[in-house]
Amino acid sequence: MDRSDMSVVVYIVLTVVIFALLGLVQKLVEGL
Amino acid sequence: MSTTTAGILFLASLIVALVAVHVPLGDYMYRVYTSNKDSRGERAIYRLIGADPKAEQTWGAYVRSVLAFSAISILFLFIFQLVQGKLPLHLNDPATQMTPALAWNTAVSFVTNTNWQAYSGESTQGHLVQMAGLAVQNFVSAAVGMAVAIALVRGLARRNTGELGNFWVDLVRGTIRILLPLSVIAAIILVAGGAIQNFHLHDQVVNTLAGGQQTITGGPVASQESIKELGNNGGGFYNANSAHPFENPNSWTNWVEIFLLMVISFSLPRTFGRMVESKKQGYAIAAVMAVLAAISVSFMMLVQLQHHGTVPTAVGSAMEGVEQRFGVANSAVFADATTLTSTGAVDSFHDSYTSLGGMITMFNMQLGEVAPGGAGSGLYGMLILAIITVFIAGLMVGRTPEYLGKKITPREIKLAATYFLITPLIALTGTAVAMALPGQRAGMLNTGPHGLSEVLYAFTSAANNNGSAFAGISVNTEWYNTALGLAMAFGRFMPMIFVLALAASLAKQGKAPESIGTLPTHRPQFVGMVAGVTLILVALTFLPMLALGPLAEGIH
Repeated sequence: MDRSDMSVVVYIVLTVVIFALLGLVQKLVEGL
Repeated sequence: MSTTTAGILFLASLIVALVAVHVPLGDYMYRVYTSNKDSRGERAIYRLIGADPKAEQTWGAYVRSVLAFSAISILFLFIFQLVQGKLPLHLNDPATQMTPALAWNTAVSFVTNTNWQAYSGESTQGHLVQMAGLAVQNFVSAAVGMAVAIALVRGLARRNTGELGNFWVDLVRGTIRILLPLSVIAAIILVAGGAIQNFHLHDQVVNTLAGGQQTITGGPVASQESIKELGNNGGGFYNANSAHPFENPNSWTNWVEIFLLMVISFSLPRTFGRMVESKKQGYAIAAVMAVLAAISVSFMMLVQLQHHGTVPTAVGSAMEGVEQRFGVANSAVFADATTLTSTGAVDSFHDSYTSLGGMITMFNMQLGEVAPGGAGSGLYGMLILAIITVFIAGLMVGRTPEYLGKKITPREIKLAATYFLITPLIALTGTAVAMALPGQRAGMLNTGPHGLSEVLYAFTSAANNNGSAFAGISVNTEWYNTALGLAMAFGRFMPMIFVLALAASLAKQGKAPESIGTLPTHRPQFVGMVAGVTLILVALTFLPMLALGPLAEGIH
């Protein structure tokens, strides 16, 4: 896997992490 | 006719047109979002995506729908751009390589309605990506913003319920019934004005004066231009954006584009007024937007038309970076309109504006883009400021904080205050980190206060989902593509979570009867209070940074 392919995977993972965090924020606000 | 007189007439005709259209369009949007009927085409879409249009959603389900739709959209657009070279209608020899960082930044940018572009459209993206990727997001990202605004209005209008509507219905109706027909009409008008609409890719080659050959890239520009302005997106088909004659050929198409980028946001308060069964409340919100916009436009015209210095004095105004077809006054109106909304399209070079003119474009965004703001995001931002004002007024005069019969309890004010703080936190933290890293400072093409303004502008634009650039900074790097992408994503969706939580909190309440202690929220003094609170809060938040950037440059 070259550097560009790795970057593609990294940005896909980053997107998933961002939306997982946003989902977590929603859960936390729900519990306020 | 003098430049100033022409500018005032240009502005006056825009105001007249917006006033004339906001009632029928606002009423039409009210009917769209409150109708119980679905068209055959809409029902087919609901079946395709597995959504039940009759099922109402709680705020949690509404948020999860927004996030799921947006996450899938980003991943699709990211991959789409990377594989475009293997698909039809691609550029044979793109000038800018589509790296994963650039593709991700662009995907986040268009899905968040920001349309920040770290690339030149005509030399990077093929027609298929422009049409089936970027233009699609121009529609649906605007429809997402409008859906969230309508959910907040339902929270204010409804009583004793936990349901805010159905995101999928709001998304589909906003796209099909509002944005699509209006953008078709607008595209035809722009074509009549000379904007191009074709599929030329590599077949238009001209001999240049220097003896070389240049390919003139065409494309389906007018159709993208119309939704670019109408949906407050701002991403240009060409790098020069609305300064390019293929996108914005003449002075009257320039007028049309400014009208388009303001018309939905100025009409939504009417929709709000109809939904809460008090048109006066809608007028009050529209009036706050208009007051803030009037202050901004007046100040911008003043500094751009009266700027001192040898060349500006000789020509009568600050001409640098201004497209000659439009002139200083009309460009100043465009710059104001694009930053007061979340559009980010440009017909002149903001980096070349006077220091105070440049500061106004930044301050417009730092207001939270509420005057009138983005499609939907302007309305929900302004309603939150109205709620904060009611709370502050309640503290000052000892009245019960209530807005439209809903009590503003500690929970509501915590949600509203957090909403207000998120975007400045992202913009200022991003700027501070970029300025602290030597590698990122090296990307600045200017030093001193102007260099700081360029970085501050970039993060302000990204966090507020505007998308315009001050320029003068190399942003197509892995660091900037990632950092600005994060600013756009969190700047878009974090506030939405708090808006929808607030909507649910309000919807659960009954309606408190009006009493002598209830603050009237439809009168001119409330309009003035909301405008004042907005200006003071934003000034307190951003003044230190503005003092180090454009204000310091102006004094120098």
